[in-house]
Amino acid sequence: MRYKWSINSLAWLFHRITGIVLSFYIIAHIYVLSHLKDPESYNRLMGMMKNPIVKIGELGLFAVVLIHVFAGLRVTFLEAGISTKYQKHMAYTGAVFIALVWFIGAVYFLKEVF
Amino acid sequence: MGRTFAWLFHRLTGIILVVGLLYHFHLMHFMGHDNYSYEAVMKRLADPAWKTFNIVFLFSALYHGFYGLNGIITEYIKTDFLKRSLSVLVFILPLVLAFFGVKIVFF
Repeated sequence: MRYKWSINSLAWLFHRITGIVLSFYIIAHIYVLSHLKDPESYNRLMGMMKNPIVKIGELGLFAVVLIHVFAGLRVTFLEAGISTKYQKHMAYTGAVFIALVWFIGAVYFLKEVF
Repeated sequence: MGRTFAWLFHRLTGIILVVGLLYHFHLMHFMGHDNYSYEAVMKRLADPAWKTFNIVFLFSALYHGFYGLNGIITEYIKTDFLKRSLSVLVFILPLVLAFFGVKIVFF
């Protein structure tokens, strides 16, 4: 499959890449949750989450989720017949929203460590 | 009809996930440590309303994720054998994960 490069095809491509990443992440996520059976292993695992490297990973994951959500909303709007005339503006607006929500979220994420 | 429904369900689970994730992120990251201590999580897991939320959330995520992967495999993988093997994998893997997920919620 070939992409003609524009903000729209980029949004489409990012949607796919982040989708693959998230599918793999859910495997790890369910594995982590299976540690819930006793407080010791759960707390040990949650202690690991305070590690700065894990935090950076979480911030990356948060970005991946946001990109996937906004790209998904974009596709849903387009398929619902909301004018394709504005799709470039929609994509740029979405990018601004992603950056904004990520930045605000990042402050809260980092508050957990500091 | 089957495939139309499968596609529609992908969209529907997508919308469920956006709403669910908003709450999930808010609870786990923005509302403070007391909400994800072992005791707090266990208390939520015992609540039938939360059990329902978790199960809907779990199945939506698994369906959505692996339906998407199946689409990507269909479109990009050219080798017949590889395509068929991966399709089987993305069918079985979510079932295994669903088993573990249900086990976490109910047992």
